[in-house]
Amino acid sequence: MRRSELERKLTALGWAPTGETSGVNHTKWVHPKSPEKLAVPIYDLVFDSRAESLLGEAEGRIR
Amino acid sequence: MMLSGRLFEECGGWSIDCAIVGVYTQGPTREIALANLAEAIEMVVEREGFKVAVIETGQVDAGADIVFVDPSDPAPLLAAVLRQRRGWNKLTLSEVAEKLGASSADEYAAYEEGKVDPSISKFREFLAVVAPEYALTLGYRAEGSTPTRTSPREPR
Repeated sequence: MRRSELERKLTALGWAPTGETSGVNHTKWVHPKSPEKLAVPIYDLVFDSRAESLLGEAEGRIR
Repeated sequence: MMLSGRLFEECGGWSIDCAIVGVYTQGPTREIALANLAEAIEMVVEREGFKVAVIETGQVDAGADIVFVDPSDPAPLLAAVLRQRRGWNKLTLSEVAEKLGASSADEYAAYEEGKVDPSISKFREFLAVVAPEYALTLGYRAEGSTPTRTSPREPR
């Protein structure tokens, strides 16, 4: 999955990237309902298993 | 205390995760995937000076290589596990305290904040409440396994 597509889906769930300094290969995302942040890889192509798991985490934490 | 994770090939690169802390990442090479797991966990734990080493064990399970996540300080990592799983299982601090038979949530909250390093029996007790889908196990650490670096050297 393209990173832009993953980010679009995360945004649709209410997640947003933080303005904080992130890591070398990840950005940090937050959601008002989740006390835990999400580390999203910055690669243009996010492997399908990673994208699906991250979206599952993103959805599961706020359901 | 270390957490286990999985490393496997995917799409010409390497996927890696440590599901109990909700971290899923990847890398174009095995070495970078290992470093990326360390970076992502350190990012989620968010504790000044906290570092993890990701250790290859040489063990394989269901087609994935098993890795261990070895923290510089276990308390913040275990705190992240408790917070992450309590959130995932939709429990409030009060509900956890009630299930633990505690009169207030303060004691448990201190563990979630990483202020106190739990004993094995205490962590097992907490895990049974906030993450009954997980078990605390002892694993074999293969001889010759070597710690990898703790964070990426450079992008990609």
